[in-house]
Amino acid sequence: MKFWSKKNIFIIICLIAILIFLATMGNSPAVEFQNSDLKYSKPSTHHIFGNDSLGRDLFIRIVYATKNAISIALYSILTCVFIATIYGAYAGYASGIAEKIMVMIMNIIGSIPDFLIAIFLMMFFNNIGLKNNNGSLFGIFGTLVIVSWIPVARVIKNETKKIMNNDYILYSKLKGAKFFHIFFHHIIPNIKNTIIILVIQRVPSAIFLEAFLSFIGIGLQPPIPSLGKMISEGIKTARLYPHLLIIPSICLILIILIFNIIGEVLIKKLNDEELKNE
Amino acid sequence: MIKKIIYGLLSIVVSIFFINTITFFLIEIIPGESYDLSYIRSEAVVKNIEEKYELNKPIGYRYVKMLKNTYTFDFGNSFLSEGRSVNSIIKEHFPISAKLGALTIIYSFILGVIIGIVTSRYKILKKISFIYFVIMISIPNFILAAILQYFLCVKLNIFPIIWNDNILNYILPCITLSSYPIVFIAKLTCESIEEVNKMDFVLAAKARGIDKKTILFRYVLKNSITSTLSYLGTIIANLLVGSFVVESIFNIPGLGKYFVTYVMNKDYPVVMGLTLFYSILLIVSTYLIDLIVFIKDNKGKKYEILE
Repeated sequence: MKFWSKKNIFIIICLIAILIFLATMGNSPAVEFQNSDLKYSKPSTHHIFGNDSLGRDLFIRIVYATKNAISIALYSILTCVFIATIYGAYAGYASGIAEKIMVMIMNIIGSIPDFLIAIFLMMFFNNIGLKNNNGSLFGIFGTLVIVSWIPVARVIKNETKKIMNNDYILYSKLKGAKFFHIFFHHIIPNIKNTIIILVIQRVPSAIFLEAFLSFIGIGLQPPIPSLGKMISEGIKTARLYPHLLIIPSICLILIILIFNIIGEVLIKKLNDEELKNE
Repeated sequence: MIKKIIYGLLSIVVSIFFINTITFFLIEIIPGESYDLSYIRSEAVVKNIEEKYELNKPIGYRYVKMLKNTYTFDFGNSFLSEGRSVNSIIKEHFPISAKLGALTIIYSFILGVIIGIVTSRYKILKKISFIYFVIMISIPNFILAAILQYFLCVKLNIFPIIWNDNILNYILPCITLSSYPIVFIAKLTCESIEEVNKMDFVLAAKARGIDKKTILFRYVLKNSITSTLSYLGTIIANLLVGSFVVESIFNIPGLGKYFVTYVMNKDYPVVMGLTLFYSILLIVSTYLIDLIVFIKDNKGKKYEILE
């Protein structure tokens, strides 16, 4: 079966639509509802995951934290792949000094620690004064884009360089084609499988990075539910109330696991198809 | 060869300069002052503090001074802990981190290569190891650290919780940090063994009747380990990021733990110094690995020309 058949494209579009719908879903007041009688209570039939240190229902917080994690990761990866495709393709298309300078910019941005970028962007967005305390959301979105576009751009640059050696590129250059013509007619059709693979490979690492930064304390800020923050709070009380550590941990592992499995299966399918074509 | 070395050294100096500049201006732009001078009434005190830490000097002066300090390896003093220089912080805490990192790299190389060899030989193991790889990649290292500590230290009491610079203290952080590198190395080794197995000289060795073990250790492994070695830079970068969290969970007084605390406390001279230290470490190690791989490749080319 071909990968780019109509049925498969329809399924992929439906999945993306569902995820985007999930991502734009609003916040419920139940996330913040505190019941001080139920502080640290164990899982029961009323609250299936138990309650946290402020008496909030853990289940609803985990649902919204999962929604936040997936939506931030998806939005930032789509943005970063969009930027990286154009940048990487141009770096592969241009040769000589322009290419060297572009590669050097990538190397330099790549060696600044993620911490500093995260802190800087969070301070920056908090000081603009956005509605609903959303500063840290934009901060972490920017951090994920800046950190993860570099490896993607590197792969796309190498792929483009391979394509640029072909004779048909030389022919269209001789006919006077500009960069964007070559980009849309020759580069994109050749690297579309690579782009799909890159998007799917990057999503779990973006989810991990978001949880990691929230865990340290420079990611999503407290009123917004986040799995990393929950785990870091769970560690403090793990000795007496282990369910506050173990349940969010299992949820985070499961999310990353699902995306990894989807990625591995898709990569296998795409590779098989490429082998058939050859 | 000499041209390559000189070019590499130049690019190190240039990229350190750019990282320096970017970090300096990022810290300058971040709103908020490192000192709250508003609650001090006396003007003389304010003036003295400003003069001591050169807060009243223009930005250009501080920038040039910072550049000069970087290239003489003098990162200045900490704001928070009076009188401690950044150099002394690095000198005190880095050896522990380096020890942990070296142990992790050795451990993950040994285990990764063994898993790679085993999985390349048997087809059933390859399918099982695929599941193991996906699961190990999916567990974030801070969760693994927390859960290992909870079950093995608190519940079963096998490993000590308090830092004592004992060999027992290093085991759990080592396992946590190496969970991802082992998978990475095992995958690479397995792939490269399969690739080398298809080459002509392995076929020739088989035709000569050399037994399987000698072929594996003398012919195949030699080639596949070199290709794994070129990815050592990625592994080191991964370890540095991992060490921030693992060191703070296991209470190891290494550099990663202190970096996080100093970042949270906005102690800018220390953050600046440690950032530069980490980037220099990363850039130099990547450069050295590149050079080793380049020399190995060149050796082969020389023989080809002679033939």
